Amino acid sequence: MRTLEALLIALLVVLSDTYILGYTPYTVLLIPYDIGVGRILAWLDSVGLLKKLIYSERYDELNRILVSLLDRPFSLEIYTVNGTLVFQNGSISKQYRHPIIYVITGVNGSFNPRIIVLRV
Amino acid sequence: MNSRSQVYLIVCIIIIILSLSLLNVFEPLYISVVEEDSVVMLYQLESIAVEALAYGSTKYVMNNTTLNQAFSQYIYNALCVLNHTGIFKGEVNNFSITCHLTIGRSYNVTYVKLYKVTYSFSSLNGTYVVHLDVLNVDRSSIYPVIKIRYYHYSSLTPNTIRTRSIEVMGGMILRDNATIFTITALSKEVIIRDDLGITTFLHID
Repeated sequence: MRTLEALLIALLVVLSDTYILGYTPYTVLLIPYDIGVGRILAWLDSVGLLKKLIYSERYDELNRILVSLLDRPFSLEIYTVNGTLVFQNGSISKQYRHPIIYVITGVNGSFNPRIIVLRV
Repeated sequence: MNSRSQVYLIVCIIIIILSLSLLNVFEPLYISVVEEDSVVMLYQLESIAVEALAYGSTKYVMNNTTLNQAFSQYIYNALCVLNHTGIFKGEVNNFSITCHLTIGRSYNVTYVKLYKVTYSFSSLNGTYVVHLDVLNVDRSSIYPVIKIRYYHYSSLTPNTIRTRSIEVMGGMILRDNATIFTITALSKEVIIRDDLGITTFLHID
């Protein structure tokens, strides 16, 4: 009788979980902790987000994604190849110690490099 | 242990087992964990290689330039930028990128079967492949109907076939599934371009 009771409770919990998962939009962005912040930009590039957001000038969206992925303060700067700053969030502070530089050279075969500097 | 505790224990075990089995449903997106940080450089090189391939293949198909010439030109420009930013940290001689092209022929159709880019940095290396196969040609109607398989592959994500969306010039296209497409060829030369800008062709004899 007790086993039957246990099975019934488990069934109810699983059914309610399945219902919630089935009707809730979710995106699983599972990044192994070992990757660290140093590989965030490379990872975003590999899934196609980095170029898409930068060349369509959706910098704020990129900033929001980084805020959700990094659990610490950061500064993001994006430069053209001539050194012109096209985007910066916040001000560069001494608290950011590790600059991570990643370069994207263009999109769809164009040559229009952007230099991304992420300071954490 | 009383009977109530036994019930809770059984419930916990069942929930844990079912939760673990549910977790397998998710397909996590992650990059392979490698101890050395030079893995970032591999991603950087792959990113450049894909753009160089897009540039090179477009020049090759549209302008009859040799693939290697256009590819090398793009790579040279990109590496100048990388070197300028100091990303290489003095290890500029520790990398290589090469590009290969394979022309295939089946069902009296000549086509670019493979673009293969291999790159290495330090002791790590990677491969990026653009794969095209002609599976069948139906000539019974007015215009030939060609069934193709098209996908990308990267050794950085070895368990994933990277599917792409494509558009054609000189024909009409229908997508059958993730990698199989049906092209109705309206001319003898059909040019295929994917969403990354990589261009290939089919020539019907």
